[in-house]
Amino acid sequence: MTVLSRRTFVASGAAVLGAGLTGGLMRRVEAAELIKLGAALSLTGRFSDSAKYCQEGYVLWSEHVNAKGGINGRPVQVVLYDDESNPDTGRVLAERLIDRDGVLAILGPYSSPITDAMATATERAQVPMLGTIASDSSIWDRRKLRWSFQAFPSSDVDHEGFLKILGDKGGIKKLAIVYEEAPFSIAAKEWAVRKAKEMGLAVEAFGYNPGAQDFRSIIERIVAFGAEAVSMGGYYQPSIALTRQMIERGYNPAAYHFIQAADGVTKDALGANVEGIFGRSAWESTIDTPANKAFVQAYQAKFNRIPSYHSAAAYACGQVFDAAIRAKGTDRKAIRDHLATATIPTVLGGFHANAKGQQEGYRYVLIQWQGGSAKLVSGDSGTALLWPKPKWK
Amino acid sequence: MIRERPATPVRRTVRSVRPGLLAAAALAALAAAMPWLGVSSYARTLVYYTAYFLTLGQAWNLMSGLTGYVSFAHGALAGIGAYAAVIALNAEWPMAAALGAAAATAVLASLVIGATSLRLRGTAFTFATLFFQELVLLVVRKLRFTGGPGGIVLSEILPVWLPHVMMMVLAGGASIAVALLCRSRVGVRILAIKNDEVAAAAVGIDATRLKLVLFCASAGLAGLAGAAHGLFAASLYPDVLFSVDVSLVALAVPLIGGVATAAGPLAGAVVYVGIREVLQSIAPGLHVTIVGLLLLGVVMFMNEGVAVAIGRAAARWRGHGGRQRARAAAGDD
Amino acid sequence: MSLTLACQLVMNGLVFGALLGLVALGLALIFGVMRVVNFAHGEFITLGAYATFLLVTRLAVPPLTGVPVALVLGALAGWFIQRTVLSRVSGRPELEVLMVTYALSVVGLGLFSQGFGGDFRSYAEGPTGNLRLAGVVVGWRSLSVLIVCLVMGALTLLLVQRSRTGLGLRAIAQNRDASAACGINVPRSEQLAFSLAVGLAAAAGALVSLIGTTTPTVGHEWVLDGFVVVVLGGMGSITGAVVASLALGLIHSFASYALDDSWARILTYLLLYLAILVRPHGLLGRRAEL
Repeated sequence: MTVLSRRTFVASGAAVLGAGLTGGLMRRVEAAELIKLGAALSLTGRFSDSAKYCQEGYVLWSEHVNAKGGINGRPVQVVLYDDESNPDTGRVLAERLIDRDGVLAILGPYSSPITDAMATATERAQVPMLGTIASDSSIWDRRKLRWSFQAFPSSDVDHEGFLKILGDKGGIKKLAIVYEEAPFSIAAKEWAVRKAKEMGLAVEAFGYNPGAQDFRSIIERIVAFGAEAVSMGGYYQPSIALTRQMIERGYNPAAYHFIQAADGVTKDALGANVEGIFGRSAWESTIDTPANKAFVQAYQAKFNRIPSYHSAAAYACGQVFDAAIRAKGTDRKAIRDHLATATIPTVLGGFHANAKGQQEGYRYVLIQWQGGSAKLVSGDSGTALLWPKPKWK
Repeated sequence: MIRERPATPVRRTVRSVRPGLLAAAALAALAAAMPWLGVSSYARTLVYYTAYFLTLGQAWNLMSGLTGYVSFAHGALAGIGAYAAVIALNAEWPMAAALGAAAATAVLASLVIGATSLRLRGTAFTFATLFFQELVLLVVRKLRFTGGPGGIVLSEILPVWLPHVMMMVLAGGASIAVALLCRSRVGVRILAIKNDEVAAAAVGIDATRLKLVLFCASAGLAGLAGAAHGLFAASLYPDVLFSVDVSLVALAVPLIGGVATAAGPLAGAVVYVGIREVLQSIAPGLHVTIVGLLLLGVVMFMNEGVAVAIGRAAARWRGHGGRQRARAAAGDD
Repeated sequence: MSLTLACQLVMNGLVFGALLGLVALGLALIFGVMRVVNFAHGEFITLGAYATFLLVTRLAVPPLTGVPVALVLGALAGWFIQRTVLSRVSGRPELEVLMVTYALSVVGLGLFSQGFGGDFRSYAEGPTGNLRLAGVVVGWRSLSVLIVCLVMGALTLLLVQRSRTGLGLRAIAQNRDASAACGINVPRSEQLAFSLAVGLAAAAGALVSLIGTTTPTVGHEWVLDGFVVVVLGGMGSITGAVVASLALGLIHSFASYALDDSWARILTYLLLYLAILVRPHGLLGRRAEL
């Protein structure tokens, strides 16, 4: 795995500059005119596979912007360091980016704890930051963050799409919610339990310790409860383990949803048994808007595969800063005020933050695996549902 | 490394190391003044982390370095101090009281482990500390009071000079304390335990009580270090704070630099921070591996730590030169 | 609680307990023969897991074939580590050796993280379907794991209790110097014990990759539980380790049904604490150990 050093970014930035000059698209620029945005990503460590996609998103965005002449005529450079999936390191890097590299603003890191840690540094230094994949809204509840904004749909509504389907379809009386004992998942569970009760469902929630691989006891409890629908709000790895163990147990819910099921590798992991499973997604490559299509095409041209939501989220962050800088110039306070109030269209939807800095504009969509591919089933352009879920083999 | 130092050198008195202690105090004062000296925050942060690891290392040293009972709990003890301080500050306690609470809770925790397992032999104690670490992580994640898995945050982010100065004071104070202890009468008793516990008991040294006292002192120091770091970080996550990695640093720093000496953890902290910085740009993921390799190398080959090994090498080089001069003066015989 | 449910929980607990037993067996063997607390044991589990993962995904080998491959691979790696590192520190105080194995585990973890990245790895291949016996459902996958663990455990116990080599190992565990005086090749026996033990760990890793997912820290998680049972069962007592593992598996299964996973783990550690206090040498171990 390559570690993207600052040198590589400067090199690629310089290459794009060169291309622009020969293409006659840009007037001569001096280094002082560079707009620097900083980022810390988990290039190594626990989150490395997912953070890599974010990196691709940032790279693609900066290249696109520079190819079009930069922001207000000034080229953009993304300065990137590896936080090793460690919040403490992330905070130190935030300071370094601000102090040593002199960045204008910070593009968010991969996980919520790292976002929270970096927020400490950006609040102290008064530098705007976007929480690129920070789905945990409680970060903005627990303390007053004026300079950081959530740039991803909130985890609170993780189960929203699935619950809506249950309500529309009817016939399900008992719902089991499995959640990881982590803030984002707990918040999602609490929202979902409230909503399910409002809908008149009998609901029970089962928590597990992060890193748990053995869900058999939870499955026994779900079986004893008699749930017809199961919604799993934890990370990908435990979701796969849970699914496999449910299959082994011979337990077949009529409707099953796990939030990260939209991930392409789900099909590899579960084979034919993926059919009928629901997942929630912040973004799907199949969403039909011209901006989205352009993004997907460009991504495929450069990286040779369909982008994942991480890349889209990263790209969207770039777009948000782009809009703010175009509107307000390079004054940090002005950018911050713009982020706090404006609605900005991106590939993820319409970015809009509330008074606390939490994301209100972006929502999730619901997908379902049908015929071996993940189909969008929520919203107006959604496909028909496969109902109930075919029995597992 | 865990064994005692060679028996031959004469025990240096407090008076003879006073210049060393004064130098340490001066260094700490200079480091503490950094926020106002106009240095870049990068340099300031490096110095801060060196001091933090140094303090943790001295805390570990105070217990495990001197008694030979390897503790994996120091990360948890620092974490407990951090939580206590943040909870107290959020409840509007004055700073001094919050710090006191941090030290007190850590000491209490150490009493629990210590009273139960210090009677047992070394391996049992080590296991007990390892399980304690796990237990604390699980419990802190579970309780509402400690914020659950999301951890807790300081409701008000404090300016960075406060934890910085605190950490410098702790680092300096801890190093001086360890230096003085090693040379005191109590220090001799402690080293006697490490050497041969049975023999020590035979001459009337109450090993268990001494071990317990040391463990509590060491825990208090770790708790204070954790509290200062909690103020620095402002948001505490149990998975990060109570991960065994922090305990690893607490023991790697003195082991690499040299246990049972005051200068050892300083050398170890500098080496550790240096490695991290260098690897950040070249191969970030490798720094844990490199620390492990370093630890392995030191334990296997330089078992008194880098500081002493360098000192020995220097002495040998000087001694060799001296012998040559002596021979030349006496004529070639 | 109905009988069927109880049997189901027992079945679940046995699978976990058997796997843990394989890990603990190795730990106890190493401690018994070499007086070494092998903190690096987890890395061999991780090695077996990743090796099987690679075999299945790159070479389309059925996962259960990964078990003997992992066993051999682990044993070779173990032999190498024993020759180059552990034999060099063999005379030293046990806490120093502990630091060596701990350092090795740190290095191993770093290498796996660097080589495979932090994310999980899993594969879909392996036995499918389940078996229904009087209302109790058990998947073929879990059942295969259980059977393999039992077979390997039984063979190892037979080796230690009934063979000549095993007699040599037991002799060394009782009294090292006397065994050497009797002409037992101590260094070679230690090599054998270590290689066998970590080979078992790697085999356990292969099984873990089958019923769970593989990350660089997967071995660490199992090894911590492994230490719990070795201490409970008596340091150095192999039978004790196996019995304690099965017991822990059952306790964990019932406790996480009645409470939840986290409380079950807290309960386990508290129990362990009490066990260390009350009987520091464990339930079946010898007084001289702790």
